[in-house]
Amino acid sequence: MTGAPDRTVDALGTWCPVPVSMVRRALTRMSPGEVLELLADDPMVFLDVPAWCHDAGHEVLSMEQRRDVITTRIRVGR
Amino acid sequence: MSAYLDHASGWPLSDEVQDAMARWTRHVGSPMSLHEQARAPADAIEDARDEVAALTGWAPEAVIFTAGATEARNLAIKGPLGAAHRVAPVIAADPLAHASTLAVARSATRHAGALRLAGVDGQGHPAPGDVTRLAAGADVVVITHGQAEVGTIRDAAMLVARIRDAAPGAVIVLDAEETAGLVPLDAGLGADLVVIGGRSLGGPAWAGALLVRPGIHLHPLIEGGVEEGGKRGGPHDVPAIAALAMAARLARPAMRDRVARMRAVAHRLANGLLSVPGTRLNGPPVDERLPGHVQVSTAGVTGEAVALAMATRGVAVSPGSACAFGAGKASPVLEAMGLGDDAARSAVLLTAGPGTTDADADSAIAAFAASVAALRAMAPG
Repeated sequence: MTGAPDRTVDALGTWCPVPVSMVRRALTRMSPGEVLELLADDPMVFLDVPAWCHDAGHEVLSMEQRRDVITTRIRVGR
Repeated sequence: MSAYLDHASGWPLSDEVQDAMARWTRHVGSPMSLHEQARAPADAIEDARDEVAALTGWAPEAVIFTAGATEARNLAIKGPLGAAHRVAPVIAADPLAHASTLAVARSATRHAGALRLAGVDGQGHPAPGDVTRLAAGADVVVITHGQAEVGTIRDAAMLVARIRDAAPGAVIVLDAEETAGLVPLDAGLGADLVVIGGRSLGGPAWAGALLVRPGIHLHPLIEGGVEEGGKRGGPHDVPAIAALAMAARLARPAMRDRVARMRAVAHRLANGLLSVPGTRLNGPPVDERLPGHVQVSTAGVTGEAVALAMATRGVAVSPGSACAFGAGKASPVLEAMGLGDDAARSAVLLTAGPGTTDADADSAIAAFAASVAALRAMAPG
């Protein structure tokens, strides 16, 4: 997935569960189909974010790590 | 005789600011909760974000509320270094930066890295060439917009532009604690991070904010919460934030009138104080320094003794150096500007606010003259 996200959450320097909490709060202000980008550097997001998105009905489009920054793109579900 | 000329320590809070604060001391309900009682304080915080962001014209999302400017400085320096995983950081500033800026920079470079300090002239201005030379290769550069002790207002926009050319990778911090509400800060004057304190806005000194340009990454200092976008964990101080917002709302349209009044009083003060023989003005001329700000040195006395003697006459002022006060040291700021030891030790700081009257100024002048005369009369020899 390329192109600008509809919203970016910068969770750098925070530890799980804070990144997931920030994603949850941000998604409540977004519409279905929009894309959220999460920036984080806690490796736990590799586990926590997909699990939470699965339960909440959102789609993880991509997760990639460059140096210490893990960028996750999430498409907002219904 | 009674007069308050210590606005550098704290402004009297206006009724509007006190009311804004008091409303939230009576409210029950965390702004982070889900229930109805959470909505009003949550809205108040978002409204406050609008008001504080308007000082720079940046989006409300730029604002991270802190407990005063000192915390904001800590976050401004350590936050970007943490996000960039710098283990040997290079920080550039000048010796007239706020004491907490220098303390944080020393702490961050204690084990590895370097703190570079530009030279300053006799008016408190850093040499632009020195700033850009030292900024090259730095991770964080701090520009102190208004110097608290001697009142120098730096040409921050010019310095930021030069640093940007010399050090495109550096995070540039503008410390605007002394200038917010008194000097325009449009677009953060080009900086990446802007430190705001409540005091110069007419708000509580224990409220502050760090304004963050989009794309600048920080690690939090206070971890473990989702408040302030995860960058400043822990419960919000809603009364302080609301008071800061009210102060910012009142300060923006009042800036011109406040500055004019404070400069007029400063002129009156300076003229009266300098009529005492052996007295000199430290720092730039009144029209070129922080509004309401006058610092003088007087031969044959110490600043601490003068401040205490003036206090016994009902006039509140500060010794010239807050950070050296009580340490038995001359002001490092004045020493860096090239003042001799006697002048550095005898400095007294008088700071007026928009509510300071001519009568207040005249009381301060009379108390200063009487205090200096009494102290000189007691001096041996």
